Amino acid sequence: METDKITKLLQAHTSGDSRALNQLIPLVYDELKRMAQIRLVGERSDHTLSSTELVHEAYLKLIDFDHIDWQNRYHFFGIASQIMRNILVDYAVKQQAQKRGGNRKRVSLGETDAITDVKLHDILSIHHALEKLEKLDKRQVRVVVCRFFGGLTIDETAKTLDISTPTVSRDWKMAKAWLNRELSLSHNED
Amino acid sequence: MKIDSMETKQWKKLKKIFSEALLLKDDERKEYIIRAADGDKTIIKEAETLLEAYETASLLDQPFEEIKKSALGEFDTDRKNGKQIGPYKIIDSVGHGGMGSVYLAERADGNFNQRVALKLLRTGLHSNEQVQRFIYERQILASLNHENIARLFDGGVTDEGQPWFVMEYVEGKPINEYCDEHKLSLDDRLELFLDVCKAVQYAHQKLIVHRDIKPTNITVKKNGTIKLLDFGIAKALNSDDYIQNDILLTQTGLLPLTPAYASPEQIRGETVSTVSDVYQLGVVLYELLTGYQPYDVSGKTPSEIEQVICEDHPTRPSSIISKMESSASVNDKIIQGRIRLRRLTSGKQKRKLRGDLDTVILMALRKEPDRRYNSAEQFAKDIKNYLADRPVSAYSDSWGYRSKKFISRHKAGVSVAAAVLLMLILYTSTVTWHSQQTREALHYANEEAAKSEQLIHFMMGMFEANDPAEAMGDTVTARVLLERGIEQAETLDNQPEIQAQMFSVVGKVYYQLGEYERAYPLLRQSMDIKNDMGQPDEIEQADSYYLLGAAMHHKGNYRESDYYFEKALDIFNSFSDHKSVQFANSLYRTANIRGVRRDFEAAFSMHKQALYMRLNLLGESHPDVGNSYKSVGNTFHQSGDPAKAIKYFRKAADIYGVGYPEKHPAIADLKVSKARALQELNKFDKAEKYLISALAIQTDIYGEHHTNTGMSKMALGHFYRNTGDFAKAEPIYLELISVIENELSGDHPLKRPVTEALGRLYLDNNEPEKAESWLRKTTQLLSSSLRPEHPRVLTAEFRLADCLLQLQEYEEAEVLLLQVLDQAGDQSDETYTSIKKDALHTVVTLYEIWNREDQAEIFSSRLQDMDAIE
Repeated sequence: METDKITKLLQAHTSGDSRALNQLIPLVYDELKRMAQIRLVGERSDHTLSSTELVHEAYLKLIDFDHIDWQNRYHFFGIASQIMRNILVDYAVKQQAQKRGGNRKRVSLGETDAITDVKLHDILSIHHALEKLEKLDKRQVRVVVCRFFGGLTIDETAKTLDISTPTVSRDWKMAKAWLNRELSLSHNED
Repeated sequence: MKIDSMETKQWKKLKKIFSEALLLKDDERKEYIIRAADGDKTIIKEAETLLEAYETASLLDQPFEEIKKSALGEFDTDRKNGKQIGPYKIIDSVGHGGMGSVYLAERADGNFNQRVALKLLRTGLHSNEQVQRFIYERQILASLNHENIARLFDGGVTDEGQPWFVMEYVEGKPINEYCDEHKLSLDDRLELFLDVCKAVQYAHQKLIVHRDIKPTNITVKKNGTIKLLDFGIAKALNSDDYIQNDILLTQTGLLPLTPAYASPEQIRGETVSTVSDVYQLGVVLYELLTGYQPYDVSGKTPSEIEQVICEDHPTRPSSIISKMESSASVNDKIIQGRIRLRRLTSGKQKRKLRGDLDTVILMALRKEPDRRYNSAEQFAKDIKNYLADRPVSAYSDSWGYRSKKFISRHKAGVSVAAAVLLMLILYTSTVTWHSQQTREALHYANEEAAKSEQLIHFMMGMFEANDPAEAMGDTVTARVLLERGIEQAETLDNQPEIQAQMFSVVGKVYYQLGEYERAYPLLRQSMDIKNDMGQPDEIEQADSYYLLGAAMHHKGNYRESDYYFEKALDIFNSFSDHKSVQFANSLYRTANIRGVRRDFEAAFSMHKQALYMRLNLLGESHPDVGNSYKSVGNTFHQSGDPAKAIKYFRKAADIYGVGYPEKHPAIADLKVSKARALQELNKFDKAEKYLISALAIQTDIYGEHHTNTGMSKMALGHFYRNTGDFAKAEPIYLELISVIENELSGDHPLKRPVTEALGRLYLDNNEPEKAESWLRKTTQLLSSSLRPEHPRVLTAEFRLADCLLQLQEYEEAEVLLLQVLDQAGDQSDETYTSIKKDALHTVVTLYEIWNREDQAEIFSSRLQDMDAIE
């Protein structure tokens, strides 16, 4: 199953293989786009043969859509959220390195000039704060990754992590408070 | 204390205390924490600082959509300069209004240097149906070609469902400002107004109604020419004329109704016609000549406004000055200033207006549409009569007629007032809705409210602003009012039943208004409460599930919607003999999802069930029944019975034929379905006819460059290819690919299939020289998005290898074939068997031609082994 491959690439990237991300992105690109609130296809009140084909064409780029059953896609959402975190952090690191190093070459992930330093900085501080929180509470970190990086709803997060909605809600609140505090601390240290 | 050195036990305790404390009121928290921490100072400090941090604004509450989009190279809705919408590039922002934003733009391809105004509307059109109507309307509007009407050049819908229009860019001033600035005399104003009438009359001849004539939509350019803006835009966005019966499809109606210029029939949500424009022209003329609007609606409550516009007689234009002079609240200087702007003294203006002009304007302002001038032309003619000192045709309104009407109309007062109320609320919000939808929403609300006395109070509380001024001010929006309702409901924790009902009412109102994002959590909450109370009304619960599913479907969340539809179905199915429209709809939508997932058997039985239920409940000629027939036909076709499929398609065609105009997307879709089934029955002539006619309809509705038109064109190309008519297929594919590459975005969903089709076409037609580049592109496109061992990638590589073999490029063909065999080798899936066989055959042929008998031998025996297994 394709998700295994993605999981492996993700692990490779997380443990420092920078090439892994380049292989990952095309595999999940469209689904990531969807998660960034882009709709692949508009609502159709009736699916004719031709529109069904259109839907398939749009989904073709999703990993092995035909072979993943509907429920398992939540598993994929979890992975995609982590990938989103990796992509953003990777992106932020590269951007900042370029700014410092004066290397004007663009990162190939699309438009770059519009992003302010502040936001890049925010991504990195959240990422580092999450690394700290990881030591205290792994589940809270997973909730934050789904909610914040993956853009999943509380409900989707619950299904993705296979925990109850109230648990997600509690974890999310506390993690937010914890990160808020952590970020304001690190901000004061700067 | 080091935070990350906390012990697991401590952390767990802290988690519990934090969550519990959050549920308490602010002043109870501290005490609770101290008590619960049981002397652990670390925990107390942690809990307190965390609670404090919880209250501060969090970065995490604003996900980095912007960065995400940029990081993924996405379209950004906030910074538009330089962005491209359709074939246009935005240069600058011109203004933002309730309906959306206006930008200065130009053609991105540099074909024309012309600068245009691009309107990007705020409201999304999310159903395909809505988009289709919108595009259809746009084409009608584009046919308006008049020197005094700003031309509509183009329009479309962005990927996000935002409609956009491109219009002539007009620099100028609103007509009233222009007149005042140039101190035009009354006669000059009338002359200018005649141009406005001429333009409106031209559009009316084409049966296009403006619906929102007001000074800001009438621009005067520096050279004194009039340009009417936004002609018919309101209608283009509002599809209810076509699909009135289906509430689900009509939420995005969007009538930019401006109360001061709205006609009584618009206020009441009745049929709007060309004479509604005559009324609005009357209001504009009134204002141009007197400096005042016929009715003062500012600071009035909604029911007062309804009263004023639908019942009150307007002050005669000639008397408005005296009336204003006598009103203590108005500064005399302002009035004198207004009169001076018209180069008249107060007495002179009154005399000039009294008599014919009074009568002419009041005739246009009649409450009853059929008693006004029946066209803009007649209105203009009477103004010309006045200017030429001829008698005018207008006559005074009689008192008796008026009062009779007044009494008979007051009987229906209350509900109209309520509708106006909500409509005005909506008007003040950033997006305005058509009163028809508003009334439907209100109807829903009323119906729900009638269920309990307390709910009526709730509804009243929701819509009653504490301060009448607030009700009319900018600050009160529909959202504020509905939110107020939610707040009220939230205080009712001890009465869960009522609370659930309230959430449900507000949720349904939002649903009716197309605000699915808002509707969803409320409906959800209502259902959760009901579930918690136990023993919910199951059918009602199923209806709610359906609604939740439909809301998710509209949002494009298919997984979620599927989940809810299934839940709804579970309940519906548990009642024997239960029949309802919601049940049928749930079946229909779930069946469609099953079809997409290729579970044809399930799709088939569900579609049939939905069909019979709809026949039973909706009668034989309802469009939904037609949709069901079509879907059943499609499933027959998919499961290998094209003859039966056609029977069902015929029934669908009969229903569509009655309910839809000849050129309708549903009819085109149906024709394509029919053609495919006919092809399988070897009825090629008929199939061709249907495909051509479907393509003509799609082209007519969507234009050459729309994806739907492309789909239709591709279907026709496939038809010719499949029937061996290469000469006809080739130009179709080539034209299509050139449109896709030049006019549409590079990532177009049709790009890969058409490229593949061209490669196959040339290969089948023994033109490997031509086939090669297309086949190469196909493999590139496929392998950029699929894993290397995906059957489609392998098939494409195999075809390319076959082509290379014919071109005598043996080395590369060999590499490719061995690669295909290698990738397919480990796969046990059946789809790989034929790929393997084909590849083996070809590799044997290759080695034979290449005179490498040893290798040919090896692969030949592998092929025999495979055959032997079977």
